[in-house]
Amino acid sequence: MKHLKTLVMMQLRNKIDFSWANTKMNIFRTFLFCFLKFAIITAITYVILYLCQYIGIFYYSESPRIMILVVTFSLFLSLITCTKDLMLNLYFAEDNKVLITFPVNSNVLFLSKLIVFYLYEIKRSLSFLIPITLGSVILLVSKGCASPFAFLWMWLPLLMIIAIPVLLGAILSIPVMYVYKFLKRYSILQVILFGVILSFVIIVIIQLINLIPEKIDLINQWPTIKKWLYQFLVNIEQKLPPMRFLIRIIVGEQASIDSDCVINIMTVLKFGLLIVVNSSLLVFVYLLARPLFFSIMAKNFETNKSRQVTHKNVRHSKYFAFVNKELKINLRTISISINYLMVYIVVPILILLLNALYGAMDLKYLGEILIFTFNILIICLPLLASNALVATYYSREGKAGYLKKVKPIYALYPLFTKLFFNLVLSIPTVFVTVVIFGKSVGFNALYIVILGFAILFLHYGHMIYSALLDVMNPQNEQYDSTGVVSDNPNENKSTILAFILSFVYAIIAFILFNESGIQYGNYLSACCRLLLISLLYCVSCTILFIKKIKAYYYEGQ
Amino acid sequence: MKKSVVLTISIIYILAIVVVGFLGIALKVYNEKVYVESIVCVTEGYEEIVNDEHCDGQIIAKKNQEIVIKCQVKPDNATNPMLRFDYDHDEVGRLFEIVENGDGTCTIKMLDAGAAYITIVPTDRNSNISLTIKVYCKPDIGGII
Repeated sequence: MKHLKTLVMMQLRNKIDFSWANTKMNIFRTFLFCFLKFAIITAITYVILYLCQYIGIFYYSESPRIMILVVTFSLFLSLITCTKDLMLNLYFAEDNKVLITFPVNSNVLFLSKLIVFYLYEIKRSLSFLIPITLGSVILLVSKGCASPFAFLWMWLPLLMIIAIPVLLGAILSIPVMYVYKFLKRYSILQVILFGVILSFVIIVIIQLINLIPEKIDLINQWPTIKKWLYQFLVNIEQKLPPMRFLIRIIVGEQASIDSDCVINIMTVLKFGLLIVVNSSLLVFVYLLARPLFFSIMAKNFETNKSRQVTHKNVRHSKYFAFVNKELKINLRTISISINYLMVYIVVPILILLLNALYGAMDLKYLGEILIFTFNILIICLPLLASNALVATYYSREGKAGYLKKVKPIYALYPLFTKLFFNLVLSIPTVFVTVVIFGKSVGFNALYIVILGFAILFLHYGHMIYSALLDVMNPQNEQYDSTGVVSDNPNENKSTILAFILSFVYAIIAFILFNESGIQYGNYLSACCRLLLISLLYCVSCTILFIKKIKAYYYEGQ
Repeated sequence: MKKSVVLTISIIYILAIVVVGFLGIALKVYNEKVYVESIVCVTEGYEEIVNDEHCDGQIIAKKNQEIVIKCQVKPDNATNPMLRFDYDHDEVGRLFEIVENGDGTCTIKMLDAGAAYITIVPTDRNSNISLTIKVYCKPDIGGII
């Protein structure tokens, strides 16, 4: 038990940044920030649900149905991330090489890995599943549809529910690991698989676009839409009895849809059944995954042979050498290439679908301005949020990252070449997306070009700032020990900034387009001013990046 | 991209459709009443008369000839395209006979020489749109010659 605790604490320190636990002030600040974040998400959930019920999308008593939908979606996404992360953590983690040398039972080692992952999953749930559930329960209790005891009770089932994707992920990680190894062996299959998935996504989107009716009028079609939503929620509830079972454990039993939720003996029995199911899953995981974990872990450590393919050593110029290196890293790191390809392909498709929907609406002037605003917001959000990966670029190099300081070249060059492919690949995406948007709203070529550059410069500015975050707060040690950092603070900051920037930029766009339309009858002035704002942001980020690199790499020495 | 980021973007995407659908949609008046703006006579032999304060057009009829007065309303999508026929009731049975057919037409038969004035008005009671048709029956002068 003592060994297990030590192992868990040790791995947790690698997985979660505890640098804030130095002083009481830092601890207080961190807890306050976490509490505020939790409270805000809960409040947002409550407000959204309250508004939905206020405008009559559904009734208070139907909240459990919404919870079924949200929890299903959340657990499904958790299952995907848990399967992937557990596969990497159990079978391919760098720290396995160290852990295997410890004088502990392999069973304890395996359990410690699962416990660490479970604790980490609880931490992750604090930013989504738990506050959303709490928000829903608050609404139910405040409307008298559930007993206040649900506030105290809900935490117990939630702890068990969070364990489900971890345990299922541990089981699924076995076949996924074989597929992963197979795909890694034959890289062409990765490309083919990606192509197939992408084609499927495109076909689905085209089918969706074809399904869009000729005229959409949400106000007048509202009774039909409401009926459809109601039927959809009922279908979800009927088709997913296990999820209904889980939600009943959280909020209590409901005799009929109009009656209140009551936590009774049946709820406790169901909770007991959930514990039994989880325990069975744990035993299954232990019997199935543990032997494999130990054999693969030992195999990787002791007998792993890397397939060395020798190529003729070609001497490149010192500048091209870095570009060549980054090209190979980008192509070989499947997580990076897929992330970018997905974002760069998905964004134009999203905009195409959005504008196809808007095209079916008969809009007034405010509607037109809102379309411009939301198009800009929806283009910027995924594009800028994808830059979170940039905030890990330099840290991903692990200890090799520090070699930059001794390379016989100005440090800015290798740092910038890391961004090179992202900078280049984003150009066609941004312009294709803006062309789709521009053509849908009837913009001429000049507007499209100006807006394209405006969004491109905003993207570049955020990308450079994200890279700067990584330079100023490197996570090389964490990447070096585990190979994966799931809660990188730079990634989080980059994502938050992406959201703030996108919203602020969209609000500015709304004001400028509205003003320009009223004053001049066209949108040239708005497009030009948006370009100017983006350009200023990009230039200031670049100057900041250059200055900080200078200070960090040269003046500090 | 993290799960929470994907979810948030999905929610914003749906909100983008809902917000534009509710706030940006052009308001339309449904079940709008389309009034009759003009009446056009399509009866064969109808001639338009300009600058006559008593009528807008005339139809020349022979004695005892039955003429079906048929009119159309403009616009075509008028909510209530029904028409009413007004005439001098004192002349009925003496100068002419008239039967309203119930399908927006009426049949008139001139019993004697003279002019019968039929005023056609829409039943939607919009402003004072009307069409007055003079059905004229020439006196029989063959015997005098």
